Amino acid sequence: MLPTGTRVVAARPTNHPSPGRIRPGDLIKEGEFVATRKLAAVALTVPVCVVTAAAPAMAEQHTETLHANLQPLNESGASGTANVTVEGTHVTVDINSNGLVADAPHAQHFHIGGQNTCPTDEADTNDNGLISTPEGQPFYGDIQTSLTTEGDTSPDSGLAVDRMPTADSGGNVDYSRSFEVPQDVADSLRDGDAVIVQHGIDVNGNGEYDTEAGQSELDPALPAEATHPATCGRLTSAPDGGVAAGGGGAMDNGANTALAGFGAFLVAAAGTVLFLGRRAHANR
Amino acid sequence: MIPVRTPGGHRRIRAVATASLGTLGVVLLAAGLWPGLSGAPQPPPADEASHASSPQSAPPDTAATAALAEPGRVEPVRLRIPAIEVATSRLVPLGVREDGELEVPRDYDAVGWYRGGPWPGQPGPAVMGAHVDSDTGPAVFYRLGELRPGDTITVERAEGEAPVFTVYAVQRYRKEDFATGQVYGSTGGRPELRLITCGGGFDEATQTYESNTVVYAALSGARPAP
Repeated sequence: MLPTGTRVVAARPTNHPSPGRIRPGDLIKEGEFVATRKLAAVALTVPVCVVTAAAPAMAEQHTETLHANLQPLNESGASGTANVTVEGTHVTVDINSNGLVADAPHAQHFHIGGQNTCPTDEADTNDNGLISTPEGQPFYGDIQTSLTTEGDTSPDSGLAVDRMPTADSGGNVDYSRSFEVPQDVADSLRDGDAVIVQHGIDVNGNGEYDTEAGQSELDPALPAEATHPATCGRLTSAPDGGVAAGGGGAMDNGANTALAGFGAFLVAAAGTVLFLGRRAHANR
Repeated sequence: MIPVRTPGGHRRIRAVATASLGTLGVVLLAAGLWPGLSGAPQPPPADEASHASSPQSAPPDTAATAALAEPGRVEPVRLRIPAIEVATSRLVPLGVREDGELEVPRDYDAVGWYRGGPWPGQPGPAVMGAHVDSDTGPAVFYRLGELRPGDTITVERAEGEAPVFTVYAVQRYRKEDFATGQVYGSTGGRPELRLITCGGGFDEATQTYESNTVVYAALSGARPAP
C-alpha cells in the first residue's frame, strides 16, 4: 500500500476508467476520497522495466573505473585486459596480457591524442606489413604516461625497457601499480580518451628481439621488434551503478495488480455510493 | 433482503450494501497488495549489504591457480547455472546507456554480457546481466538470489574450453549504494564473473526495483571444448 504523502513519480497508461486523474507530482493525501481513486489508478498501472533515477548516485569525486580489451597488433597473437581506476589524479593500473614474447621486456603506455583509437591496417604507411609505433600515432596519439614497474612514469620513461614489465616464460605480463598522473592525463582517462599500447613483437619467431625487421625508429639502439606495438586497447568507462532489470511482474504488486485494482475500485465505488447517499439525504 | 417502506429503510439497505461493497474492496485491495496474502512467488532473497561494502567472503583458494589454456577474448555462447536450472544460449552483448548504466537485454529470456569489459574467462570481472521478471512473470534470472557459495556457473564460448566459475558471494545493494568498484573493479588479474539482476522491493511509484542482486564468482576450472 502506498503510504500517505507518497509523491507519484510516474504515471503510466492504464485501463482504469479515469486514467487522466493521476499525474507526475500528484501527492497522495491522507483521508481524501480523491486519494483513493488515485490509488486505484496507481494500482492499475502496467509495470514495465524503466530507467532508474538512481544511476548517478555517486558524488563528483567518485572513483572512475575503466576497462580496455587489449587486442593484437602486427599479428602478435597477444591479447589481454586492463583495469584502470582514477580517483582524483591517483590511478591504479592492472594489466593482464598473454601471448607476448616470453622472457622479454614489454614497454607499455597510456597514449592520448590522435583519434584516441587503435590503429587499423591503414596505419602501415610504408606498406612493409608492420605498424610501427610512429605509424600508429595518428590513431592513438603520443605517449602521455609510461607504465613502468618503478620510478618515473612520465613520457621521458617511454623507452626505459629496464623498468618495463618482462613477460614470464609463458608470455604472460601481470602488471599492477598505483601512482599519480598529471591532471590533464586524469581528465583524459575519465573522458575515455586514452589508449593502452604494449610493445614488443617477434616477427621472425625466433623467440627474441633482433634486428631482422630493422632498427627502431624511436631509438636506433633498439631492434624494431622491441618497440613495434603488440597489443592495443582503448580505455572506456565501466557502467555506473546497477541495472534496471525487472518489470515487477513476479512481485506481488505486479502479479496481483488486477486484484488490487478491482479492490480499490470497489472501495471507490462504496465511497461514491456513500457520498451520493449522504448528499441525497442532505438535500431532502 | 426485503425492502422496508420507511425513509430510513432505503438508507439502511444502502448502508449495508455500501459497507459490504467497501469491505470486499478493502479485502481484495489487501490481498492484492499484501505479500503474504497474494500467493504470488517472490524473487528469492539475497544478503542485503548494509552499504556499499566488499563481498563478505573472498574468492576461494582455487581461484588463485585456475587459468584457461586460451584466455583470449572469445564470445560467450551459452550459460549454464545448474543450481537454479538456467541453461540458455540466448546471449546478447551489452553496451552502456547514455546515463552510464549497463544496458539490459530487450528480451526477458536473454542474458546479456558487458562487451566493454573483460569477457568471460579473461582476467578481470566479466559482467552478465538479465531480467529478474517481466511485467507478467518470472524472467531468466528470477532465481539468481538463490545462488550460494559453492554453486557453479559455466560459460561456453564460441571456441575453446568453457570456463567454470564458483560462486563466492551473493550480495544485494540498494541502487544508490551499488558497489560499482567491487563489481567492475580490479580482481588482481583473476578471471571472475558477476551476474546482476534486480532484487528487493518493487517500487510501484517508479516502477523499478529498489535493489540489485549481484553474484560474485571466480574461475575454478574449465570444461574441455565440445
